[in-house]
Amino acid sequence: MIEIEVRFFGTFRRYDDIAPLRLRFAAPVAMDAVRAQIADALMAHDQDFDPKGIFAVTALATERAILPADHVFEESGNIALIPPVSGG
Amino acid sequence: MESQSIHASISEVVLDPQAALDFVGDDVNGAALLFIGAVRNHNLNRPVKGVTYDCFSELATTILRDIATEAQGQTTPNLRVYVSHFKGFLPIGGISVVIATASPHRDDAYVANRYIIEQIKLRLPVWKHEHYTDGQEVWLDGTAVTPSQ
Repeated sequence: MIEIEVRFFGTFRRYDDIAPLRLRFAAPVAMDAVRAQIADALMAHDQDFDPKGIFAVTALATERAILPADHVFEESGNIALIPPVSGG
Repeated sequence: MESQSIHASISEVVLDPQAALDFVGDDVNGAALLFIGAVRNHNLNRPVKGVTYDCFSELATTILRDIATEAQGQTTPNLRVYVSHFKGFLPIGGISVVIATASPHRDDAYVANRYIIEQIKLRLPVWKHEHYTDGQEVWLDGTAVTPSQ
């Protein structure tokens, strides 16, 4: 089993009361499965959470890079939800 | 994050345009350009009193450096870049981003500076939480990021 910790930024700061979200998976685990479990956890916490809303256009990232859609998680680690950005 | 010719950082203290110009100054460069982004007092017809900038600092520092390196690659190896983005709350007029570029000739400094701010808008993991004079606040819409950018 691996454990993935999820941090929140931007509009997802509303979930800071459950941050970091800790999820366990049998490794290796694909991006889609990780996203689905994150969505399930947020829906369980917030009945208004819509996985087809901003979450659908939210990327996952490590401290080093935005992760591609075909990324496979093989080790425990930390990631973050990256909603659409608005810097500058 | 700093190299001999690139300074890229996320700052939680007031940004200093003079420090940016000082960093890019070099006897080989005949042109220096400074871009300052600041909090304006309105957005979409709503009066604004300030903006909180949230930021994934670790990733943002890496991406800022990547962008600056790309700007060098597209212009000249002599390009010097100072880019820093603020994290935290800023009132009206507060400086959110400083970009200084310097090159032997002006065109490269202009091209690089414009490239850097436009890429920040597309790629930097920073989010604006806008505060309005009526007490309401909202996370602004943004641009979805992808690994290929």
